[in-house]
Amino acid sequence: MDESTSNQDAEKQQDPGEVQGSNDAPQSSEQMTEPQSSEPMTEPATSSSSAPRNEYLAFREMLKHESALPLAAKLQEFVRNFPEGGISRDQAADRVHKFLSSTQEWMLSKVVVFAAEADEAGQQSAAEGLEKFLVMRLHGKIFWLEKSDPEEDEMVKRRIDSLSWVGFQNLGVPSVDVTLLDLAVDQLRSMDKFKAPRDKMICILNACRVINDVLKRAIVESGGGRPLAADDFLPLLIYCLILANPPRLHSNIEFVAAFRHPSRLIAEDAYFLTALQSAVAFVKDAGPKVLDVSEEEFKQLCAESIAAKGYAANGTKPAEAVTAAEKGLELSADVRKVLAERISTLRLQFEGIQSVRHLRVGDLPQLLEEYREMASILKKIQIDTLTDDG
Amino acid sequence: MSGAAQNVFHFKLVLLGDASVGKSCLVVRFAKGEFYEYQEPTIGAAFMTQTVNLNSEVVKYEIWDTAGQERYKSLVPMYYRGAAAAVIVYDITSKESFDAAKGWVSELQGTNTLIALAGNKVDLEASRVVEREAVRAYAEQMGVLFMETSAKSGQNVQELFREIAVRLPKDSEEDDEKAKGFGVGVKGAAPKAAGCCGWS
Repeated sequence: MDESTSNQDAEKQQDPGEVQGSNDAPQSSEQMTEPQSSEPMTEPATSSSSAPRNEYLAFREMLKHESALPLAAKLQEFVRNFPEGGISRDQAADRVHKFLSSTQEWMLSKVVVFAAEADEAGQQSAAEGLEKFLVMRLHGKIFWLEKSDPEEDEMVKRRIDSLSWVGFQNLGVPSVDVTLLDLAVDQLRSMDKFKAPRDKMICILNACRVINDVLKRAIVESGGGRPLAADDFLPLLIYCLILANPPRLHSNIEFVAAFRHPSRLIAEDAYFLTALQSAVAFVKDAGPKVLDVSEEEFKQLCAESIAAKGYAANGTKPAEAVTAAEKGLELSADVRKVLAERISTLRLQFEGIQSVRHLRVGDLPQLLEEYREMASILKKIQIDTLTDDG
Repeated sequence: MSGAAQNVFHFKLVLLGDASVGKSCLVVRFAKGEFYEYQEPTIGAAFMTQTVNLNSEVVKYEIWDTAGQERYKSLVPMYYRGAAAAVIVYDITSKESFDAAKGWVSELQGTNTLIALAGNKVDLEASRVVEREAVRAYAEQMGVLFMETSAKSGQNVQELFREIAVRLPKDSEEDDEKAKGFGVGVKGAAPKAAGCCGWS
């Protein structure tokens, strides 16, 4: 490639660290914690998941090798020429995959520094590095690829917010210790912190492994009986998904499904991604029937749930209600009436006092009493707006 | 690697059927039959792999379990999409479960998925309500593979998965490509443990 033989400046520009320029979203996920196998959870068992961060750093180093300059240029050019919108997610994925497949083959055979990777593991990790490097740089252009994606994300988020009352019994499974699911919930939320499809996939896998471990423990504790199956796994995944309500859920999942190279979206990864997709499909459609409640109960529970999450009546979600007044707006009419009565009985006799110096010792009992009544009203507001969270 | 190289074929196999028919028991039984020394006892999983050795070929199943409860039924198509084979399980002591199985057979008819119908819990002969001959006639009419099985005794479990392996078309090149490019556990011959008495 001609570009590779040009002057030193060009070489500098082609430094892979600079390729992404400023067209990419915030600091690259390389700066963030990777979903490492050192996380306190079942270690990813697939060889492809071992120490992804170190592998990627190695790839970045190799990309700086002289022989890799044409490769860096090629990647840069692909990113630069990639259309901003105007194509479907499938079309974009197809374009990325075709480019990755051909580039990978060329890289492993012709680019000296990579061709030297003789063993399968080395080649695989180079291929992983290539995917991550490229897709991270395309992230800004391809994450919200469809115009409807941000809306869809909002819709799913709101939908899940309306289902915060859903418990194990509504999903048809015996209950498990919810605190054990924290790690799974964290992992589901972490998906959004990473830009590369594989890193997001690792978060999904980690979440699913935690759920499996919790189930195994439950099975062992109950003395065996039946083996762990999708009958237990899927409901628990749905439960975790509702607890987590991961940011930009729809887009994140579609992103992994589309941009993880199909040759690597296989076996367990494919299963757990499908499971998560099916869990999302479930929460999107879940009505009273599948959740074992009456029509009225369903409506009421969802309305309460959505109000407790701070949505206004018109369905938009304002900033989190922080003041008592804001929280007051979210209360039901009955509760508001009761609270209004209680508030009206408050004498607020210290309202005019500007300084502690004007306060007399004899006022303290009255002050304390009023304070306690106010605290109790505040708590009531808090409880009524935030109930059913667990 | 020793001996002649065997062709390895990867197949996605999906398990369908009502919640209490013993789908997962069946597949755990299958997985333990040949590999029980590596398996944790009776644990199972929603996703499992298991290998069947044919003479010159190795069939590696990727087994996808589905949730059988009615409330999750509408999600099942997401799981069977692209499956090479479907094992539709019913319980011979439950007419309802057989009706559900017939529903899945009709739904999958006309796709490229090879369908196998498994009447499970044949060890509970005394409580049988679904007649074998009637199902056999039905299976013939629908052109699907049919066996009665017992996850408990192991009866016909290996046979079922072996028969599916035999019948699956092995002309797909892409599977090999995938395996070659990314080393997804392509092994030589899988070690074969004797019989299927590993249930404990």
